[in-house]
Amino acid sequence: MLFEYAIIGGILLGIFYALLAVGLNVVYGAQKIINLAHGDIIMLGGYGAWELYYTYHISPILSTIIVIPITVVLGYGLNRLIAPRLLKSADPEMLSLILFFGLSEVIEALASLVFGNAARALPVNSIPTSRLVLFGQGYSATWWVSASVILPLLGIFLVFLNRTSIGLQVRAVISDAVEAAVAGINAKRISGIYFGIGFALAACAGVWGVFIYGGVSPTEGPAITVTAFAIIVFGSLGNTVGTIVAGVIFGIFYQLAQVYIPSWSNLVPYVLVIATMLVRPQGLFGRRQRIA
Amino acid sequence: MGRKMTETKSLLKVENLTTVFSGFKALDDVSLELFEGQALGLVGPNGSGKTTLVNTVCGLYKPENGRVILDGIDVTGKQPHYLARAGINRTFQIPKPFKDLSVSENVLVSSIHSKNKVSITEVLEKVKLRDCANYPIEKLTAAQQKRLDLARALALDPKVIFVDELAAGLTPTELNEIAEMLAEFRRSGIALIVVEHLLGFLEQVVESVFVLSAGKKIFGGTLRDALSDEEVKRVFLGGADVA
Repeated sequence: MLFEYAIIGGILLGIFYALLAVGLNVVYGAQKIINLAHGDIIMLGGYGAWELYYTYHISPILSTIIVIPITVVLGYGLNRLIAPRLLKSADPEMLSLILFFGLSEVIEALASLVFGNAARALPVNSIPTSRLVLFGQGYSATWWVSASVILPLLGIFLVFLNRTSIGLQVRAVISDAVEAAVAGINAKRISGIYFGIGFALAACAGVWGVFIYGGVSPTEGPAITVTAFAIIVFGSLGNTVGTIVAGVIFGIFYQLAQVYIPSWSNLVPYVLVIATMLVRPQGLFGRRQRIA
Repeated sequence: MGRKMTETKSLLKVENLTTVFSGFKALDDVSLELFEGQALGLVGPNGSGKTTLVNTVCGLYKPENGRVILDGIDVTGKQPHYLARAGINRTFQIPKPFKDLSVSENVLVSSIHSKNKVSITEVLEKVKLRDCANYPIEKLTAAQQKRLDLARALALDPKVIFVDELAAGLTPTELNEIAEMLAEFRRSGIALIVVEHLLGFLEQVVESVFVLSAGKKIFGGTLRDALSDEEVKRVFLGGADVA
């Protein structure tokens, strides 16, 4: 019974982890950079949900939608600000790492100033509270409600990417920005929009992170970034479907560890990154690169 | 071939174009004019500035000096996507199709910003890739990938196409097919600038050539005249007979 519980619970939880990581993957696709402030954007999403609930009595389910346009604009603006400078740099990857590390520190400091250092939580009854019962086992409302909101969100994102004109242009820009520009695509604008979408997906994850992690605090960002990074490496850097599948598998691993070796469960992200690098460096869905 | 240029419309005018990289003049005061349906060969040894000229006209490099006039409009220094939509299109020496998109999606994505909507099926038909429409890119041969590059340029309803070393690595049959396609493009009014090392192929597809050396124009005229030009022979083969 414990095993079934770990698997089903892991899938429900894994859907959250898929969303947690997919935003980081999107930002990577848009600009070929690792956003070290990803966890901090998630943290801001959590505070956004907290504020919307306590100030305007808005349900976290609705907050998931409200944070999207705000963070798309925020991400787009940031992209337009930094992308030209990164492109002019001799070492854009290193500069982006330093830049986003700095951004992470600034967001964390500002969040501490504005919200204080203590964690803030949302009441459990701010979302449906009934447990999900499957095969005689009860599963936390947080898990199934978050999965019920996140699954359609991921579905819409995949439809956007694969079935819309902007999505098609995004895929072209991800493949090769210069070729895309020569094909008439305003690659800078499309990258900016996609970057903003990455931020929005992170903020949506933040709304549900408040429930999954039991609260939101200014210092949670870096640990969340590590988890998201482990998932996108496992699923293949830049591969959206790979990230989603890897997120679900990560959830199962994490839940199995929670059930059988709980004191070791926090090591799962690190073990996953190391194992991926050793066994399949290109990740689950990656193509093997030919060297020389 | 052999169109009377005086009767056709000027599509592309490059005036005194100069491109500088860290003080080095990769392109030095180059001028050329291209007419509707004309095919011009762009030749020169490695490092002569051919690709710099293509990249500058297509907006990938900013010129230090000079002007690019497309169909009477000054488009100097415009961004590549603007120029592609305006009608300046190109293929690459090594085709880099969008690898996560199918063959038809590769053409579709290029057609999104075309001023005149084109039929993807017709475009694929023109480059003989209609049967491969739903293929993933990995299934295409090198020759098919080059034809896909042409299809993507066609999908933007181009006025001018820069064809960058299309012939390299193709079999004689494939070369003949490509030459026939390019002739068909010209018949529909598209002007071509063909960057090429393979002189036999050039002879099939262009009526005049433009020779660059060290970023400067050293010859303009027919290929036959180029082959007997002393300066051209000197830069290509140190004075030996090019033909």
